[in-house]
Amino acid sequence: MIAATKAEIRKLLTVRSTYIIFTLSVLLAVFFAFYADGLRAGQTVHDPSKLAGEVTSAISAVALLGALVGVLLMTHEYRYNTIMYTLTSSRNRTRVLLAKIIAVSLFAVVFSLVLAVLSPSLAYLGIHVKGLHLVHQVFPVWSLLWRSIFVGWGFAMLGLLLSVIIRSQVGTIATLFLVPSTVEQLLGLLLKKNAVYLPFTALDSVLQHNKELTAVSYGRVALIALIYIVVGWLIAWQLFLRRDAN
Amino acid sequence: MIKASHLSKKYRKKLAVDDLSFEVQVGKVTGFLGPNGAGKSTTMRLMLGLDGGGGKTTFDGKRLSEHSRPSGVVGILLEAKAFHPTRTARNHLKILAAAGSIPDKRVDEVLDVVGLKDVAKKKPGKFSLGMSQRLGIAAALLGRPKYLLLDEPANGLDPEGIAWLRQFIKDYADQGNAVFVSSHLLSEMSQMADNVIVIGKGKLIADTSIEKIIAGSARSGVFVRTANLSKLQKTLEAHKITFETHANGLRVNGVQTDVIGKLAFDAGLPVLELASQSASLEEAFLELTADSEEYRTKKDDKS
Repeated sequence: MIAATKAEIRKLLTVRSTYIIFTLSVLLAVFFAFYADGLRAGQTVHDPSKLAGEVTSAISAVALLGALVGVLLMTHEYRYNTIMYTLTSSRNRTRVLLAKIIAVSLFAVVFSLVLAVLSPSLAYLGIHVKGLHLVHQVFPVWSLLWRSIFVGWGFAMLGLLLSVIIRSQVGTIATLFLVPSTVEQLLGLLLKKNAVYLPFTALDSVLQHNKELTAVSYGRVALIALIYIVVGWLIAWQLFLRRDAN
Repeated sequence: MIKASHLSKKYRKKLAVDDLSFEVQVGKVTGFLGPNGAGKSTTMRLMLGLDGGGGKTTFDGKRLSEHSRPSGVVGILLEAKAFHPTRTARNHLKILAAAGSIPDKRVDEVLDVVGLKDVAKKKPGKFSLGMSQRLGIAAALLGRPKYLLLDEPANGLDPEGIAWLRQFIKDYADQGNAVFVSSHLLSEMSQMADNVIVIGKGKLIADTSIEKIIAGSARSGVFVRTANLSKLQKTLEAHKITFETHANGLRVNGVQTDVIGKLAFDAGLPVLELASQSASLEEAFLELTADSEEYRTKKDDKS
């Protein structure tokens, strides 16, 4: 298990896409936090939850990008047929899948933490460079921390499990972007407050806490998202065990 | 020993592998032959548990998944270009080494063995087919496995590479290992394989030594020429030996030159020419698989 996890981590660290996605996410954070919300802060400096909002905005904006790392880890295996090496060097397929989950989870946690620290820091820096002063900030560290990590991890898990089910790189990426941005948005028009029971909406609500959904606590929407992730993984796991490796 | 028992695989209505059983002996190179679409690659994938299907394959009595370290049991090369194109050759192997609990220093050893040490830091996306094959062979050797399963390893190799591969495979088997190798290069196979397993349309056609396959070919026999051909024909007919007229003599199947020589001597026939004719593995293969070729070329009537 340790050997398989080590191999999966090496896979993540030896392809350009991991670094490109990470760098792009950081650049986006720099642009939005430092420039848009820092240098051009304006009246928002009077918002006591401005820095907390920086954390949630950053994670919400780039969590899908982070999920791509997991998607590529899995779909590259099928695209380049390295899956045959991965499966024959391990005693069973469940271990392979667990190793991938661990590796992607580790990446997602680091990715979320970096952005959760970087975004408010850059916004704060931008505001000071501009010569403005923030009002006293309400910054619930632990709440922001677990929600950031949970959402980053949740998107990564949804991306990874979709890639196990779909296997096609293009198909998985298209699904990952279309479902939250189009399918769930359209369903949300019908479901209104009940849209929180949709997987990506539930996950995003852990951060955004949509005003229309205030009756639902962070813990509850996190639980809804977690149920989707667990059920999704049960399906993905069974398919991974039974299907031919090609 | 590798023991494949009753392997079968069905794609929708098509039976790709049909109740296939055979053994691969330690210390020998076993060739795996069959026309295109015969089911060779599918059989190898079934043996490794990559594809689901009927039957089972054991390596020293246990399924691959029952061995504590599978990479020390079997090394595989099923596809030359099975690597991420922008991950360096060394990193590709280091990942496989990590997965198999193999020390990283082994990576440089195998790169040296296959002659890729100088391009270890290069991205294999731009490798030629021959270099890709060498990288695949390096991957197969990483865990010092007892068994090697190689699917068309000579594809794309230059003559020097083919010669190296042939000798390497023979030496590897001689060290108490077993090599199971498929190839379309029948001349190469005849030079390196001890046994061959021939399949067609997923079914076993032959499982024997190269010598026996060639000897059993209708093209193997004895050519004899004598001053009195009709008398020789009668003599052979009397001994129920089959023959066919060929050039100015007879082509006799199923007997050795000494038998024909003795018969001619006893009959008082002066023999003008007596030669043993041996079919090539290619001729024997084509004969064996004549009814099993799924994708056969047609002759152009205009030519």
